[in-house]
Amino acid sequence: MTTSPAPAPYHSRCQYLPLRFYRSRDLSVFQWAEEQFHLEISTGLAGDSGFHRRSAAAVELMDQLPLQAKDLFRGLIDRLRLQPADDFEVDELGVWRPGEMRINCDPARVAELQGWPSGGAQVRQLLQTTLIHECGHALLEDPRGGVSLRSFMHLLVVSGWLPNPLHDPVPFQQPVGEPTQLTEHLLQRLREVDSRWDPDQTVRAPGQPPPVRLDSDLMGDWRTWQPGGERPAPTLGLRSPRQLGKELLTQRARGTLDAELRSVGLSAEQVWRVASRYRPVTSCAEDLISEAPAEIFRQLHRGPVPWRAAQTALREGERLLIQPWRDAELVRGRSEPAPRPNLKRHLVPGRA
Amino acid sequence: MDVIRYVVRDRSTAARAVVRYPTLEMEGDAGLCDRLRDYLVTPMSVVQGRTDQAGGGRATVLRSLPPGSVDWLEACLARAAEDLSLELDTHWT
Repeated sequence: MTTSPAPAPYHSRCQYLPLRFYRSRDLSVFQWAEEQFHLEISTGLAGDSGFHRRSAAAVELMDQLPLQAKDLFRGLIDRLRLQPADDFEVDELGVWRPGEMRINCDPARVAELQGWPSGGAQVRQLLQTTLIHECGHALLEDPRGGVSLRSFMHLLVVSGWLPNPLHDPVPFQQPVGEPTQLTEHLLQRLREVDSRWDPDQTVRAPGQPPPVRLDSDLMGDWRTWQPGGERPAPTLGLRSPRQLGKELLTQRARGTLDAELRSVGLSAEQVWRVASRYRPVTSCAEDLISEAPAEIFRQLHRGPVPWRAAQTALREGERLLIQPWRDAELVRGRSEPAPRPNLKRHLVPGRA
Repeated sequence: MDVIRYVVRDRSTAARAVVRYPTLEMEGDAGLCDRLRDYLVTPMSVVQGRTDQAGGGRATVLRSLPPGSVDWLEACLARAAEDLSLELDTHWT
């Protein structure tokens, strides 16, 4: 991973007008968002009169987003759907899918159900966290974000995702050091699972396998596969450090681990050393592989991470997810003024 | 039996404490242990990601964590670290 990614393609040359500019002219927050972020906004049907106010409050948070997240909204999100809690699962705050973001405009209801402080500031923070995390998914998965599968895989490697050593001993034989070789090894294995995976394309680029295959090809259960069998492994069987630790401890409790590791040329000490080298930036990124890179993006915009073993993931995340956007800013600048408000328009968002 | 040891270090004083999982026993700097205990008694919920199977999208969810679970302990320690400027390390044993 010595080459630097190209400048971010979604970087915008246009500036942004702050929300207060629209407010001072008695223009709506929805008009501000549509015009400044090039969005189509729609609202869901809610049974109470306060929904319009709550959906406006959700949109207002976009004014405080980091500039990179604003560019992601402008460049990679085409539609913003503001919906009441009834349109979501009970614990859902927002959903991204290519080109579209759905936001739950009743985050206080989710917070109350899940034991989160439901004060105004905490709930606003919750919703802003959601916006940034979902922007991370857009950056990593929308082809317009320009993040290659190789970079995606590298962020998994530096977050400590590894196969079980009995399934694939190679990552544990490598000297502890630069994870570049491990990234390339796993990409090669992924192409053995499905040769359509192209490391130089984004994960949802045309020609890649369907998006639902990403999680299963990377972290599906490997235990049905027999080492030495002729059939290629259907999955890389990657595990987060915590999941892998649990599996290894279970195998050790059965008393078979040391002998099994010896049979593939490894010692327990080697395995634990490699398995504890890196970890995800938050423990929330331990369950689902596609969340680890998006969590890195969120944490990079949120502040310091206390986990010592997560510092490599942060550093590489900065290099692969933020630096290309900074490079674009340096190269292209913001030479065009922000879109001006249409003063003849009084926007009422359409119904979803 | 220890399964995981969390080593906690105060960045400003270099005081150290160890929290053991699953027993939640602590040892090390007494003052640091006292401050950590305050964080291990609260319910904890965290923002997490989930794949939206119906639409193929990615959802952000708020999930309350079962007290006593590894997820809960790590979330508690992370919140303490954020408030108290601590550094965290994990050791599987």
